[in-house]
Amino acid sequence: MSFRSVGRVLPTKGFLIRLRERTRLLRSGVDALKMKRDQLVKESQNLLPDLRRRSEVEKKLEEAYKLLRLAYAAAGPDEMRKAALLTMPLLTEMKVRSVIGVEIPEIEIREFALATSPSLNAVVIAAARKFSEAIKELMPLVNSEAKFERLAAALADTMRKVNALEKIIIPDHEAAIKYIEEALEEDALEEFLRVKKYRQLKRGV
Amino acid sequence: MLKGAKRKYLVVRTHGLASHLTDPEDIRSWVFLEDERALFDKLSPTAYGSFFEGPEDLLDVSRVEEACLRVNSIRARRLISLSRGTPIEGLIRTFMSKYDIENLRRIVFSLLFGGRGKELRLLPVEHYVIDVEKLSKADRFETLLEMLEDRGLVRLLSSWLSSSERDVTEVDLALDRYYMGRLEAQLKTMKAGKRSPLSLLLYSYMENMLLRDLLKAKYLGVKKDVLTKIFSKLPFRKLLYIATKTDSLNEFLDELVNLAPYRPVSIEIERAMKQIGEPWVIEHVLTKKTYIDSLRIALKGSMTEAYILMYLIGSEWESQSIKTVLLGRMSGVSPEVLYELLAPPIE
Repeated sequence: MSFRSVGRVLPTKGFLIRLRERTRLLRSGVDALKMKRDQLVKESQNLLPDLRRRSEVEKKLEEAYKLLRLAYAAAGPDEMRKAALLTMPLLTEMKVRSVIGVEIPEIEIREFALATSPSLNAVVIAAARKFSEAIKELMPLVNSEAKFERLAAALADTMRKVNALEKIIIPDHEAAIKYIEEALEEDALEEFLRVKKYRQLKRGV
Repeated sequence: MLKGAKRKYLVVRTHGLASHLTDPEDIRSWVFLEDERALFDKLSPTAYGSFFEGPEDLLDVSRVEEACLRVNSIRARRLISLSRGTPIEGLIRTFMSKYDIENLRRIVFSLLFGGRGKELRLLPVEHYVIDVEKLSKADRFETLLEMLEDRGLVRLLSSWLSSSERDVTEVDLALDRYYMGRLEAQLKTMKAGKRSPLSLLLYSYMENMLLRDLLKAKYLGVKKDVLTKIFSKLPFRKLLYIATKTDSLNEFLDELVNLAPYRPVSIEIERAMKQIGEPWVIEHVLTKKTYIDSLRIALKGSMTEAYILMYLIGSEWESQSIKTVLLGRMSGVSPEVLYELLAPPIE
């Protein structure tokens, strides 16, 4: 006899004991996964206020792009190129943090100096300032969104595992245990009848 | 009145040249034109027409920028060739040397911050006083100092280089101050009287330039001692005093609104700050003011050298307006915003 998630089933006492142990382990695994699932949900919920700030950041970026268009019109691309000469690279550091076993990337701004100078057209300075503000607010949102995405993926994975254990693997194991128990009971009954018959023959009934 | 016949001839020629400048109100109305074809038809008879072969060229950013710069340069060159050998040649060269200073600034920035080579793009104008083309070949700041012929500029850049802070705003403002110093020196060589239209126009020009620098310095939060150090010897004490006693741009604007000559500037910048949150109109407001002020002074002395400078300032405002219309349309800025940006100053 074979069960999909258990494999080949041997109707022996030893296998029954091993199977019972395995089922017990699976049940405690389900409990642990449920705890992980709850924790992941909690962590995801904590991120919601941060994620709701997306519209604010988008508005800031919109304003920055509006000013960039104005800068393009009023100062021209040549002035932008001059501003680019002053630009210092945005230095970031990427860290990987583990939250309940889920690896989450985190980007941290190490150095972000807005290099502007009075000879630049005011509209270019204004656009640069708006963009730097937007980027500073964008970074925590990027981190939160990345964290949320990873947590959501881990949550879906955990739910799938819990469902598989609860709906397929543990029922399969239980069915296998029941099958072995029945088989062993049948064997015991057969053995009992065989012994009884043998005794009758021996007594010469 | 001018003494020399050549000077008179030059001023009369400038009157003729000035008559070819496009009316700022006409340019302003172009923001509402339906398509590029209509705009091309309007531009064709102007000095800019020869830079565009068809309406599609009006969508070429680099062509637009180059045309606007080159028209100014061609006009200045024509005046220089007409005035060769007279003090006016020196005046025009000194006045136009702001483009040399601007290119030098770009070279300095690229040597200090940017990667050399493709990032450095000089304004496409021939040099007037400083051979920036030669200087652009410098690969190190020290080489640049060796190549510079002007001792004043070498002193300025070396002292900045040896300063502990090496604040980029300081060298930036110092280059503007150097330009103002050159204008003052040129005025002295021309022996123009204190109340002469030329003197009034040049000081008004410098005052507006200083105001623009101070407004942007306040906006960027430049230290007061830097402003004092750089601009203290200029004759515009009141302006500098207000700039050094106020802590922010808003405070500075609040003070300026109480002074009649600066009230329109302050009102217009504050209005922009209320609308967008940033004083993005500083350049346009000050360029407009410079043009209107120079026009006012030059019309009082229409047969003086002041008229020549007014023509150059007018030409700059014309090309700035045309650039704003063309690039603004290209980048999808609403016609109403562009129309307001090019409006005459509030009286």
